[in-house]
Amino acid sequence: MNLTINNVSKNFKNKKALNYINLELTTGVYGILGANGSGKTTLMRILASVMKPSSGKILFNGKDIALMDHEYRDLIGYLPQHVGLYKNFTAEKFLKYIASLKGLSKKEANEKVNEVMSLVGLLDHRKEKVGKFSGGMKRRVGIAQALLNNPKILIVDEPTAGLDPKERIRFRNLVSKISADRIVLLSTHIVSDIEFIAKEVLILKEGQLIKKETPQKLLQGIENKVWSISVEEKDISYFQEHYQVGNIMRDQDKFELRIVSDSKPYKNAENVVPNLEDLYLFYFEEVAI
Amino acid sequence: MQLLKFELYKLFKQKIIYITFFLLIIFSTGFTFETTTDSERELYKQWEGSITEETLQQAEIESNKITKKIEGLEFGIPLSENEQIKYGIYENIAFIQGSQRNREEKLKQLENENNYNTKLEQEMITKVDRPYFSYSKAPMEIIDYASFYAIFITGAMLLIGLSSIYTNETSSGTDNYILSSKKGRNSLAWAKITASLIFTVIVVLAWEVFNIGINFIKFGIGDWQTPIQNMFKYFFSPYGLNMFDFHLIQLSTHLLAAFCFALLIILVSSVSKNSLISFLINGVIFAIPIMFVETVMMPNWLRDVFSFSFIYLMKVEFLFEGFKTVNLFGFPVIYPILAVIWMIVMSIVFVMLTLQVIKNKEVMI
Repeated sequence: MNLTINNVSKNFKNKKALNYINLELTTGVYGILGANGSGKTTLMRILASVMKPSSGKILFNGKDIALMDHEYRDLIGYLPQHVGLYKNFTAEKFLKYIASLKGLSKKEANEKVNEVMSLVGLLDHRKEKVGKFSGGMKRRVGIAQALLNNPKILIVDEPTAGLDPKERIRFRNLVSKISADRIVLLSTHIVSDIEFIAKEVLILKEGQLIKKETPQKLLQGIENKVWSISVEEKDISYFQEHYQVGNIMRDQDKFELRIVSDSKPYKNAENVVPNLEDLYLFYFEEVAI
Repeated sequence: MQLLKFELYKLFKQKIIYITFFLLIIFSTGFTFETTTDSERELYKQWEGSITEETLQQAEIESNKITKKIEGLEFGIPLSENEQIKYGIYENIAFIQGSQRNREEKLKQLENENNYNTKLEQEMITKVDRPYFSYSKAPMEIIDYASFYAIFITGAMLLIGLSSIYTNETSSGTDNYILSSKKGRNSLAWAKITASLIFTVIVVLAWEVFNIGINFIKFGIGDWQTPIQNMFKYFFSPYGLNMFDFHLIQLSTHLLAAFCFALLIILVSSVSKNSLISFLINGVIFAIPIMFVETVMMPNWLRDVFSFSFIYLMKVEFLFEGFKTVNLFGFPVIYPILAVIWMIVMSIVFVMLTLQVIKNKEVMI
């Protein structure tokens, strides 16, 4: 099973949101990293067939998804960035509605709705109206609906936004569990979401795919570029102005700064093992969450 | 089938449609409740039947008696209720006879004409029933209601119930799931179309039940076999229909026009960004023709063109009030047939356009 993205571009009036993206995806989890406006959501929307590329093609097992039409849509599960719900529907009714949109029979829908609600921990709330749900619960309904048709391609845009740490761990484990026989595309700002489950990380910047590597290889690329230094509080602003500063941790009366820099930023700086947050900082010059 | 059930659920879950319907029905009563008495019906019964020369003479004599009484009355002394009813009956008989006389004159006039539609008009006028008088207040009121209040009820209910049929998905953000799902485009569009047509039938049935119920309570069942020419609006009508047949045709035509309007609303909703825009565009399309016709001086042909708009098609009246045809390669096509063809063509076009819009629809927000 493979999904090929072939020279895909998307233009919005004067803005180029995606610029000739070429990709080959096979089963496993792909984490998409990118700052706001990098084209993550646009790429996901195109893959979810809710948006059309301005040029280029997407092929599933060699077939153009535009021609596959509903056959392709039958294969996908999509969780958009903003979870939309009908406020006056109960969680169960809403999921049954989505199940019917996905072409499940009434019997299949009943079974599957129970299964996915249990997976996301909402079984006890199934008769409650989704309008009264918290942000995290709404997100879980969104995740549940994406899994209803047992999708071969799961596209999830910022799936853990609004989830509490326990729910995030549950979601990560869930994705890890189901990724064996499907393609999972997961875009996030929260790099820890993908650090241990992504087969490969795609880095998008200003509509261009600048990296597609395993997390290990990406981290190798910034070895010797991540530093830790211990400074006085008054010196923090100096480093923030001149370097890319990530974590700042208080260490008794001093502060430990984590800095991404090609050169040693300070005589006492020590080289440390990079992680994906450093990688994010390296590429996007802004602090990752 | 499951999708259709959900679409119906979404449509009928809107509280606003019940409030709107209730208010419109209340306003349609005009806040009056007149009824007829048994004695009034008895007076009508005395004159029921075909209008002959004898009946006409008798009515004229009786009418003159009341006229003389009116002329001799002192200021402030009214006619009794019975006399008023009788006077109305005599006027009615004269009116019905006038309609027959008008048709006879028209037939004479047509003998000297040789247009593409002359023969058809002669045939139609010949088939109109002989003048007949009976108590038919209920059918008349029911027909009137269906061509006046009903258009506003159907129009408003469709606008309120259906304008958000697609824009709701955009505003709630559920369009992402819908457009990315297997049945979220073509199948869902058909489910929405079917649900909207069912909604339309229910709206029309709902006001018709009220219409029949209230008028039967007020005026009794009445005589539905009476020719439509007994009604002022259809004095010149060449259609040989009794009130029952006409009301069925009126309802069917109204329903077909309502279907067509519902399909337009779905189309506009599918391309609109929000429900208000969709409501306003559809509202303007619905109301503008009647505003133009009622307020702007225009040639007859242009008035006829406007008459083929949704609001007038739902009104039905203009299709049957006179003999109007179009020349189709030398064959006369009467307006009711033309209207049906027009509505079917429009409906097909609206459905095809909606399916095309949904096929290519993208999420933008």
